Amino acid sequence: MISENGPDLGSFISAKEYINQSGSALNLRSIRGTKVLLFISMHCVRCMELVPELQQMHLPHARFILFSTGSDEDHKELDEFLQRKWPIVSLSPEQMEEDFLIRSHPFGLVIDENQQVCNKGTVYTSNELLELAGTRGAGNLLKVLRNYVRRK
Amino acid sequence: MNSLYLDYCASTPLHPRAFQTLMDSSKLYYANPSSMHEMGFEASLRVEESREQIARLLQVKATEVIFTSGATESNNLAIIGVVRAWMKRTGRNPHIILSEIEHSSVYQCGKQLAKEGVEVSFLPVNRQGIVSPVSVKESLQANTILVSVMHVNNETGAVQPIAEIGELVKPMPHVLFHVDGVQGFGKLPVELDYIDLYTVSGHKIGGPKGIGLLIAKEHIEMDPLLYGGEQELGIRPGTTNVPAVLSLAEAIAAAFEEQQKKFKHLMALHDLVYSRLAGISELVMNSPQPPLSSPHILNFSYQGRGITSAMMIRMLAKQGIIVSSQSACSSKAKQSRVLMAMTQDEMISSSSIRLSFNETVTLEEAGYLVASVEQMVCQLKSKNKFDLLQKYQMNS
Repeated sequence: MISENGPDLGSFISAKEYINQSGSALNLRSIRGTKVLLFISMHCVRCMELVPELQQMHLPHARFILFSTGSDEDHKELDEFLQRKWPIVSLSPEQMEEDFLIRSHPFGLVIDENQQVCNKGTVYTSNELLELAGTRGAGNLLKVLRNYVRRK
Repeated sequence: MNSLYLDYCASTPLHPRAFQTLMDSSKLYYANPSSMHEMGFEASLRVEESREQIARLLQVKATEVIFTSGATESNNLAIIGVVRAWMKRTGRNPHIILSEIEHSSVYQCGKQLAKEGVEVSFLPVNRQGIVSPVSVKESLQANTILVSVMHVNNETGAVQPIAEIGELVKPMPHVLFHVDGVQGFGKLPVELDYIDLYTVSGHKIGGPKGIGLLIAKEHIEMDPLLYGGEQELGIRPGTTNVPAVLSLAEAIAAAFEEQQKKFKHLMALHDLVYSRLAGISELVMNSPQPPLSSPHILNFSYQGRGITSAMMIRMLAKQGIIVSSQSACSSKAKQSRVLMAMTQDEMISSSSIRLSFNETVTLEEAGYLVASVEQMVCQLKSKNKFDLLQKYQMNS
């Protein structure tokens, strides 16, 4: 069976507790407001192209959380590179699939204040991620509509 | 910046003769070769001429040449087709032998058949990625019906001892020998006398994509994977892709004519690149040296600091160098199955780069490649790897 990447729009986000790069617990449901989750793999060429763009990216109205397949050592370097701006959660590809139905990378999820998935999609650039998050014009609406039509 | 394409194992450009044939025949022979009218008959004649031309070059009978959609189908047909026919005839579960380093189109056949109750032995390889004929001998059972070992490994270029394995299996008429010849065909000489089933891909040798061959010797009993018409003696039904067949025949003819000349050039490229990269202490050479390896493939890994294949592929791409590793952007394929079988080392298996050459790559370009790898390794030693990824991105 061919299945779509990521959870269905409208579904609730995982209530699990994750650990960020500094060892602190991170529960997505306890974070208020809009959240943008980006899932990357250290073994994915497109992800390695996207990572350098994240350093300059600004998400003014949302909390950004990076889920990566890297090791603690990788995330230490990544955290330095990203100037300690964002939480980084280490997650195996299997866990990404189990918790978020993520089967390919790089993939973004936007979670609204009700803890529901309101947008999702493959993102190859930081601009695409911003568009997904709804901070770039009409792109978000188009994507939501596209996803809605696809689901129907 | 011009790209230096070094992924010829993944796919090749069309050979000019194959390209011309594809264009011409697409215009001329569009009729269905199974149709009874004159135009269909004309197309079917061209297909049979190509079949005979290929059979002459490979020194097999024309009836032993089966056109398929490509190597994946050929490998599936060879393995699953033979196993199913045997099971239907005997009502028993057979045993088959594959190596651990087979291409996934062979390896996954073995995995699937194992789920269906077939006994499957996956043979280990040594540190050079080579299967031992002794391990083949030791794995043979009374119910063994098939041994499948590739000629040249697609990741490392390691040449498998197919002649020795073929000689070993030949006195046992109940055991068939299948060779996935995709990476060896047109690069190294091959003798089909001791091989019962042999796979060729079109687009790896300058032919078009979507066409391949399975050489299946006359005595072989094989079930089709698809059902429909009587094309390819009913073993592979479906409308024959006439332009692709004609173009493939031309690509094979060209590969045979140019093989020796190409081999010399590929050896020169391999020697230059291997000798320089082997001198870099951070790199591990995964490919053995010729004659244990085909000169068109060279595989190395970076040891340490969590450097992955994806990072190096990205950095080299920014220098205009197009290379690959074991997989495309498959996040789950963290490690190369082939390199894990060879080394049992996760670091080596997740940081490999495969260079694959063809005869159009110049020695000057090989020099540029080596200098770029040297520079990349030198920077990887000391810098934050993500800073480096950004630097490469900005410099491109």
